[in-house]
Amino acid sequence: MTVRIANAAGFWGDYTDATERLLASGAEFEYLQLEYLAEVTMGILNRLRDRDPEKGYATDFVEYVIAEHLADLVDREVRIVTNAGGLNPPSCAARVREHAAEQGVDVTVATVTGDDITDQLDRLHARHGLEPFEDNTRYEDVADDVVTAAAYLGAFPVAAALDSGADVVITGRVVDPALALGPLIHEYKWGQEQYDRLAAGIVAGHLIECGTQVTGGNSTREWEAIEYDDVGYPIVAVESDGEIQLTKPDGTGGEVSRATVAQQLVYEIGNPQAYLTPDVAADFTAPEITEVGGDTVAITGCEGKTPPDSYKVSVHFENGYRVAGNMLYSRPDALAKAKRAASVIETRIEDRGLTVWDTRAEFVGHNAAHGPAAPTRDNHNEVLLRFAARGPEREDLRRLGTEFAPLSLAGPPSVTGLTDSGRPRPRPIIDVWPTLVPKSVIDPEVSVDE
Amino acid sequence: MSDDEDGSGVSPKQAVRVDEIAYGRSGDKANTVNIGIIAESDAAYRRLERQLTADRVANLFGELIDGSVTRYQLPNLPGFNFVASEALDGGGQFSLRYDSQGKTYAAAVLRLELPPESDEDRNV
Repeated sequence: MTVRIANAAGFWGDYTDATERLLASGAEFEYLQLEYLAEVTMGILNRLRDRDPEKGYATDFVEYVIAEHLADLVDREVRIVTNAGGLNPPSCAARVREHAAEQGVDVTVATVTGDDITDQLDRLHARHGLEPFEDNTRYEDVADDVVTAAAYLGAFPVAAALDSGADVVITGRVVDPALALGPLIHEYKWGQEQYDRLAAGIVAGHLIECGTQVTGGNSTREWEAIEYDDVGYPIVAVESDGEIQLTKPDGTGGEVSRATVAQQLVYEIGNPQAYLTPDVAADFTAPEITEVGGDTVAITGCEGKTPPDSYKVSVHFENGYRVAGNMLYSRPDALAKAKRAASVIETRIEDRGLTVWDTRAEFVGHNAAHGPAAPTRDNHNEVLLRFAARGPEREDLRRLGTEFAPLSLAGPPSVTGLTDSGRPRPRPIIDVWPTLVPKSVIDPEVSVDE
Repeated sequence: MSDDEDGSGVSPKQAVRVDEIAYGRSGDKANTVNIGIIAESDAAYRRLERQLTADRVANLFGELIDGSVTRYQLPNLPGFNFVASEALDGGGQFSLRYDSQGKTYAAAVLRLELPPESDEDRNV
């Protein structure tokens, strides 16, 4: 027996026809996994839920997966596992049930919740003392501005939902690889202390959670040779002993090789010997990656150790406002012109007495990506000035946003681009404060349709 | 020992740009950036181990990294993971940088030029 798990979303913003393409490819799999929640996504979801309490989930899932393909997926006996629930899994599940009824499809929907601990933060801090994870910011510094806080749950609640017969499992915040480990625990009845097996599930999930980034997308190795049209979404086949094969549907673009898999293994990790999840500390220095031909790679020898006794929590809090605007300057002397324009904006901020915490002028085409790590050149054909600022007052940054357009008449010559930018508006910054909470204070909740 | 050949056709006695013997990818977690660099061969891995130090990576980025750089080894790939703290002007949402998630940092490391090594450098 082999369990095959396909991914059709690496983040909220991925191709909206990914599921359609995956189904059209004829590839076979038992589970479809869709990942939507980046750190920055939680802030966006919060804004959406503020405007409408029925929102706060990743609508792409309902719109482009459920509405269009639920009947087909059920017909193929594919079970769906997703973190599209975001800040509001019950509401996401309700939409799925509505679509199922409309399509005349009989499905069991489950939610995994208990990750949202926003209302408990103060009490948890009083009792356990929430410590910063990264820098020296204290809980007291962010407490008044908290908008939402979510613990990264593990895979066992996901497995429990599947054990109860769910066809669609909708979670809030779980560690991304739990969307693959959950089905594997369900299928193979892996125990809580089978750490090498659990680590294999984490590795499999980690490799596919960013979709096409493991099948050729974003690979820096010989990128010119990669076919970027219709890059295939990844499918992992995992054996009960933890052996993994990763592939993509036949006839699709992209590439599955040692190089594409190795790059994804090291993506967004810290200490590779202890990739921490609630279920296992996976050792990413253990797996061997071998090409077995036909855009298929084997990953073997996964190892894991006892997990930490805490959950990671992302506390999202309001932290002022940010505005950014652009102006395009052409040759000759494009960089010098853009620099002069930036200094005019700086002077104007001072003259108008606008309150800002920081400003930053970047010169796209020169140093925006690599700053001092990029070689210094002059003689650019063109340079895009990108000027950004943050500060405590929305109104001051709104005024700062009006400082770009006038430069087209009052500043250095050969400038253009107003149709794109005009008057950029400030947006609230939803910042993140990572911390840890003891496992004992979190109660993951699995709710399955009767 | 014929380590001169380096397995990648680049002699340690010649300067080499990292992307001639390695490839990689970078990403973020809050205000931390990680840069994974994977060697094309065991010889390339050994050279990177000697020359692509945490200090060299930290120096490359200068003011972009406020914190420190830690280098972890993944001999199974073989490769390295560089973890840079306080490296994104506050991270994803707070950052004023265009590349607020450090997505292009790996490309900067891959363009680094490593100087030629003497036999002594290599303990030959």
